[in-house]
Amino acid sequence: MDHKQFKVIALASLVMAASAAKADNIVETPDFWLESGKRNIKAAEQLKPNNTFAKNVILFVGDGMGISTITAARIFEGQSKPNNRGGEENSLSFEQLPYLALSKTYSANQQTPDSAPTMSAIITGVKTNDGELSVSAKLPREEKNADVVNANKVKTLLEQAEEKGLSTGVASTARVTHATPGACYAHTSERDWESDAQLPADANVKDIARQLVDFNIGNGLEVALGGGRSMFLPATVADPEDTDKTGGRKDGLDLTKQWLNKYPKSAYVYNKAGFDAIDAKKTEHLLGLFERSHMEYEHDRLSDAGGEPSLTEMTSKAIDILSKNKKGYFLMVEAGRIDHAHHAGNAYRALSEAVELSNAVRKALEKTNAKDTLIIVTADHSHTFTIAGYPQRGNPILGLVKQPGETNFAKDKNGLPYTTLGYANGPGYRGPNVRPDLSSTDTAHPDFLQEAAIPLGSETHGAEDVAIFAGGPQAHLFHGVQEESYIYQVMAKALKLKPGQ
Amino acid sequence: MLKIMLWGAVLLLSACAQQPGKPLQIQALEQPPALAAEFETIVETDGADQQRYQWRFWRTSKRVETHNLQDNSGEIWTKSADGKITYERVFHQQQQVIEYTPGDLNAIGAVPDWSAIATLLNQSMIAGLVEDSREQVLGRPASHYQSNNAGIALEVTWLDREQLPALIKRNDHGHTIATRVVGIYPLAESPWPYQRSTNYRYTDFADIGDKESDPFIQSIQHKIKGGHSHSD
Repeated sequence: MDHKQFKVIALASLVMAASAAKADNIVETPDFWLESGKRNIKAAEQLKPNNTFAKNVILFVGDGMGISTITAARIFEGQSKPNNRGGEENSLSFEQLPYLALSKTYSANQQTPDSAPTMSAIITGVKTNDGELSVSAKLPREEKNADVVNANKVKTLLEQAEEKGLSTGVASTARVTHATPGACYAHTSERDWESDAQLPADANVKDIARQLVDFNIGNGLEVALGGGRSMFLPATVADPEDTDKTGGRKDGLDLTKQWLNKYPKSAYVYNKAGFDAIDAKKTEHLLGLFERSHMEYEHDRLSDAGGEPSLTEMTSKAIDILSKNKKGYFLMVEAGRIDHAHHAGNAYRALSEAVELSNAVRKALEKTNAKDTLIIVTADHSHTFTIAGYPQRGNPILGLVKQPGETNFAKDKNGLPYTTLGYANGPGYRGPNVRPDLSSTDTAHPDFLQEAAIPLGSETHGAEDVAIFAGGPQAHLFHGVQEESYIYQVMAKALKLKPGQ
Repeated sequence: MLKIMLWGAVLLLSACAQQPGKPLQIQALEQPPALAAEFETIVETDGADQQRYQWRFWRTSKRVETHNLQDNSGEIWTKSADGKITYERVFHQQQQVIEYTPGDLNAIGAVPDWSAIATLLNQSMIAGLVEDSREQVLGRPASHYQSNNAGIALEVTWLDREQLPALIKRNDHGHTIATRVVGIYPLAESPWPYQRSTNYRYTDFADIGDKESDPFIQSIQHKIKGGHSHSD
């Protein structure tokens, strides 16, 4: 079954459900469940593993998108749709992909990992230590000797794809030098060494931004889109958007100019107008750096002075450029700010970022064919985000818990209402005194911070498994509970690459 | 320190329309006089001197910086041409800065009020104040204002030309915070240069969550703006 078939089935179900709900609002009869179950069984029976090799692989990573985030985002989006049945019945685009597995995210040295070793595992097939990108776990963190780092490099799938003549790209709402995109093309003992300004004085390793521009495997990356402009511009040059600020590099290098000098038919853009003006047919290497640091949250994007493309728009443009290569392509797309919003304790922004990831996946499904394109959607790790209480069906996901049949909010032991969404730790802690009375608080406001049990300046990652959704060639290999590094194995097999070589 | 002034001293004052005297009116908000000042803040409970801070304040129309001399840290607020505000928490001893973009501030429910940042007084404080006398502070003309609501007494001495308080004294049932200016200069004549920060290490607030093993980040977690909802 290809992507389009799934979309048709999903759309048909949605239309039917919506129409029925509009007609009498009591569609969920026993027959409804039995009939919808039958349809889903039939769809499952029609599933046929696609054992062919993939021409293209698109890997979507929702940074910090644990399963509770997916569930809440599904409801968040569902409740915004007309004629919804509460929102819980909604499916994000990638939840309609046919194959699913769970991923064990621990790193070589930590039970709860960060994005560096997790993305390294996904893109190299090898688990490493926290803070390190695409190197062996034998390498100590912050190793400054380039010879030692080089001896411990682990080849990435993006590098292998370039060696094979495929086009490659990364797109992220975080800095393109951040851990998740960085692990695709760079090897370093310290994820924070994004520009030379962060390197210790006695280090002779290259910073991550420089590794991106100096990348010399195949014909280099075709697409690099995201934030992180300050990592590429010298400290002596004013930023083109935030003109009162400068680049961050101390070595005087303007890596955007190096990109343009290195590649024929290349382009560098830093705002939405420049991005929109790019003709994919005429552009072979596109560098887009839309913020000095991370890009705006999707919720705030339209108010950005310089203008920024959405993750969906970046995905679409990247596919347009990469798909010109008849040999195929590898593209990694990261929704990098789900993680940041969770760290801030802000569920609204985390969920709206996850919905935008769903939009980007939908666009990729529209522009590709499941016969030759493997699409994977996963997370690198989870967060301490919870969906709790016993809210009634259709209760606003960002709201206070109201149980079925009740007119008043559910109360805690002190007689105070509480929200469905919360965090085990983070900035949303309201203690040490009694919890606030949220009765008249707009808990659905985009700037509201969900309550946290333990006070921390920044909410932490969570260690439970994350989901892997997949469709296309070899997608059926995603089953059961797997090590996170298994994702690499499936991608390598799909692209007919020898793992680790 | 400034955080104590701006966020900790928010008063719930009712309107005082029936009281005589002029209300405090902040003028020239778009172009307040560029200046540098030094303040002393004393925190007392039941008359006992408990804590004393010296801190400095630099202001232009687009930038406000403070420097707490006790712990050698500071804050920098910058307003862009489109009115968006960024915030930096500066740790001079460690030569480190935590940088908050407007999006970061929104995400933690912090809604900066430029008027409050530039004048040290927020709207709820100003709303109840009425003038009761005129005086001179450091040789400069000033107006004295007072308010009292539900046992919370607020006293402000306002430097008319400088558009800055010379005194903010708040007494809440025996707990007193008094901030008093001890020196003030036009910015160009300031004896206190801006604190150098060009060589400092900058960290995005959004990245703090991924720096769980960074000793500096661990050491300042309790000092940084983490956030509370805008509405509770």
